[in-house]
Amino acid sequence: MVNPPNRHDPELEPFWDGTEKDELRVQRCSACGAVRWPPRPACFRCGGLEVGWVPAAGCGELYSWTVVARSTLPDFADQVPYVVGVVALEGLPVRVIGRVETDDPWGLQVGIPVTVAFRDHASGVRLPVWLPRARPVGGATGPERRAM
Amino acid sequence: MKNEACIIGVGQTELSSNSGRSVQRLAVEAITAALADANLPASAVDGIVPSPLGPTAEDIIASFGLADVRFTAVPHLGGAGAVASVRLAALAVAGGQADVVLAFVARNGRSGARVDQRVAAAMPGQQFRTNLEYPHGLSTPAQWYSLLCRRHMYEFGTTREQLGAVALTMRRHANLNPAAQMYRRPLTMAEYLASPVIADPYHLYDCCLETDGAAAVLVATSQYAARAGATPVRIEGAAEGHADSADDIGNRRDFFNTGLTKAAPRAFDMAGYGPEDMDFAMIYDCFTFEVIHQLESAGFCALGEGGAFVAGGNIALGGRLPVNPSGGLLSEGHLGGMNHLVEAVRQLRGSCGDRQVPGATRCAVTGWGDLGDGALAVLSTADA
Repeated sequence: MVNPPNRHDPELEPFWDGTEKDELRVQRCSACGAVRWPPRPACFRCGGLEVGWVPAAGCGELYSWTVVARSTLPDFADQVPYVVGVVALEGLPVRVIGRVETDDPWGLQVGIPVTVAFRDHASGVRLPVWLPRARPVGGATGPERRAM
Repeated sequence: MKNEACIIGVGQTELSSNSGRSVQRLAVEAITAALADANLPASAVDGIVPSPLGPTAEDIIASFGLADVRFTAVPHLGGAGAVASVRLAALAVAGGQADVVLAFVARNGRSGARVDQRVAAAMPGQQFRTNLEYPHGLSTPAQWYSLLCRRHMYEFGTTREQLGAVALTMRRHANLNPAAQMYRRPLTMAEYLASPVIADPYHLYDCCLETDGAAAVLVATSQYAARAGATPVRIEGAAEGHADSADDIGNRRDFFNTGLTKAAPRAFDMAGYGPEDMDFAMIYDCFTFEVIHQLESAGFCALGEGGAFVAGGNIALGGRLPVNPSGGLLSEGHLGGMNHLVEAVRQLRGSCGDRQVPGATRCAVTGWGDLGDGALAVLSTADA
């Protein structure tokens, strides 16, 4: 495996602790409450060094995605085409990047709802991935453009 | 530094997919050509700005036997690094820290360390790449930047045909440039649309070339240039900028507000000119959408209008703002954008033959890289 994730990365260990229990977490500053992702050693807003974590709802909206048809990573060469997306988390001002599991990589749309699922990874961590939810696009509160 | 610094010499090797020689050798060849262009001996060089990957300042000092190099710096801005390195060189000479500063890029970008290996060594935020992206199969610039392209298509209705207009324009320009890797290799819209997917929406012809070669630029003060008798191209303004959430592409409130959005007004203000005053532009075309993106970010057209701008013929030779008359990174070759600075200087000297922008006196050169770093330089002929 090329560059495997580090279960004991100083900033990410609490995140992996969460995914091990099928819980998606993001960082929240213990001083000012600012939510941030990816995890960092200090708060971008107040400079606070006390790091907290908050559980995310586990659902969100597909903000953008790519269909990878040529991978330079040996582990992925036989998995093409596959989808990697940017997911705007529901109720939190952050986006996460992750694999989108779908049988129809060419039929995705920006704004569709997605739900988190967890998969064991060969490196020993448990990875959050995203599943498109079966609900029609653009319902009462359709995807909003030019907004976080 | 306005009006104090200028480019006094440029040099470039041939562009190929297999140079058959070392990156040190390529660097020496391009630097030797730049020195000849400036009519200077190697001993005149007392400052060096190498790129983060490739030959170091020490390699160059040793290769040329330079007696007393007194300024070095390495800009870490990925594809914005070439413009940033010329800016560093300009600051160094304007600040009296060196007389002649060499900026260069040398790489075996196709036969040696290819782009995925280079980003694995030099991309910012390695902790996030390793833990949060590679395990999901996201690992190349085509993949990262296609995320921006997709979002732009959604927000503004940008189409594959508009991306194709960039690819085809660059190819037509390359077909006027005998030194381009894609010279005499025409491309049609049907071929463009049918090309294999790399990272959708990016297909093969949305992606720049991977190139072996080297390019070098020499920077000095105007006073030095006058004493040396070199033909200067003035650096009227130059700036860099960094996106919010600089090491993570997903968490910018606005996907399209990146480093160039911040750098471009600074560089234009310093120059005392606006985008509308440019006779042509060298845009860092690592991917087709990046031309649209940077034309918008630098103020050549409004946000969301880049697709229509490129499809309307504005970026072709003879159009309102010819872009990359050389054929660009998409069709000339890719030396980290240093070849764009070489082309800019040659255009401003009027020495580009069939692809010459008639009467060109002023241009902008952009850089984009490392997930959102940006840089822009405004160059002009000395008598503009």
